[in-house]
Amino acid sequence: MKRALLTVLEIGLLLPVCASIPIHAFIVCDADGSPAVATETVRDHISNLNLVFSQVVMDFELVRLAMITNENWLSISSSNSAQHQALCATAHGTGGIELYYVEEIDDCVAFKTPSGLVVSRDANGLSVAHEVGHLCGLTDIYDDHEGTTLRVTGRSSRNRMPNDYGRPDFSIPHAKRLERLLMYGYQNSSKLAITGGDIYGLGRSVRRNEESGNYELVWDLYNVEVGFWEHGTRTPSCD
Amino acid sequence: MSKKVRVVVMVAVLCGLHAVAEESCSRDVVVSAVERMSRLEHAQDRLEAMEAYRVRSGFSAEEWAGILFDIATNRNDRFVLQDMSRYASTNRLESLEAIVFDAERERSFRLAAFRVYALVDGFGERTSSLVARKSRAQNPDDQLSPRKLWLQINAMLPTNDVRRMSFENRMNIRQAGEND
Repeated sequence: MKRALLTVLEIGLLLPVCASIPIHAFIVCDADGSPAVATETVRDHISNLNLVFSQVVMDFELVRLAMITNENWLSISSSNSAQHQALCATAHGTGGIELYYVEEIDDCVAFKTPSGLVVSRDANGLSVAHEVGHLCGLTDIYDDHEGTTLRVTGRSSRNRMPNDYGRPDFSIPHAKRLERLLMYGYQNSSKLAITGGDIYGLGRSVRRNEESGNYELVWDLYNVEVGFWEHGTRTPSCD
Repeated sequence: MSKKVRVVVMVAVLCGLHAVAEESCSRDVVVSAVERMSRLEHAQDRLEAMEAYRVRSGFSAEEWAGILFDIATNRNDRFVLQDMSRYASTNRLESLEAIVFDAERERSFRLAAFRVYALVDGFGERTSSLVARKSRAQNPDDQLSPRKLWLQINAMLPTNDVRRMSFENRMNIRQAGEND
């Protein structure tokens, strides 16, 4: 009896871990039915997503792939909130992640809205994985940024990744290590790693301005919230 | 040539060489900084980085627009071109128009040039005139149709935007559609 109860408890604990996260993908088409991206592209992105997030035992399943015919949504301006809100209202609240594939976005390759991700044909699997990282609660990390004089210098050390596990190579410059992280703020083809613990780097933290009393984003060197065990969630949300 | 003159000439040549080297070096530094900033994942992030770099380096908005324009056109980088819209003045409209009409260039890059054109012009009379001219000059082999340009306007302005309504009234949409 005790054993059976334990088994039920174990299954109950593991189920949320093992359940696939449903992906609802929509491809915008022009009036002639010509799609913004091929269906293979979407499948390729999902398989990349699964590859990256297998590190944290997350699995995504494409449960819907539908076409939307509306040529006004082929080209999206990330600053035109009325436009992308209308696009993302197509299937909000599915309980999974909604991906909207468009021909192009004016100033980036993919971006997060409160109701789903907008992805252009210029995006690759890593761009989508990076945005999903945000939906899972992780933030961007940098080695440097023109917006601040702060820089990450020096080598990696245990102190710079206190809650991360394994036996990392401490001989490499810490900035090089950051380039391998999924949440690295610059695009590259080697950013795949999701760490368990937070990592020291350059990030934006919320501070209270003593004079105005307002909270503002400021650049700082600290243990940035990229660690999945510390700040990640397996129930990604756009909010 | 006397020894004194020869020394003066030599110093002048060396100073000139040094100035050229310094100029090309600083230009390389700027190009490499823009190249790195253009790889930032998020558009807002890129805007912040570029503005901070521009202010720190002492470039005026017009100078910066010129730098971004050169880099964008050399690399066919539509994102760098798009970033230029924040700094460009109407002085750049002719160069941008040349890109919109340049059938040799990639369609997405030409569309970006049109977006910047429309933004800099404030979706005004020159923008509608450009689309009308594009409509008249449409070449069947040209992948950039006036209808595509029209859709860019739709993408940039909310449906209830007054400028969009006046633009719609001014434009002969049907003619643009026929050439699609």
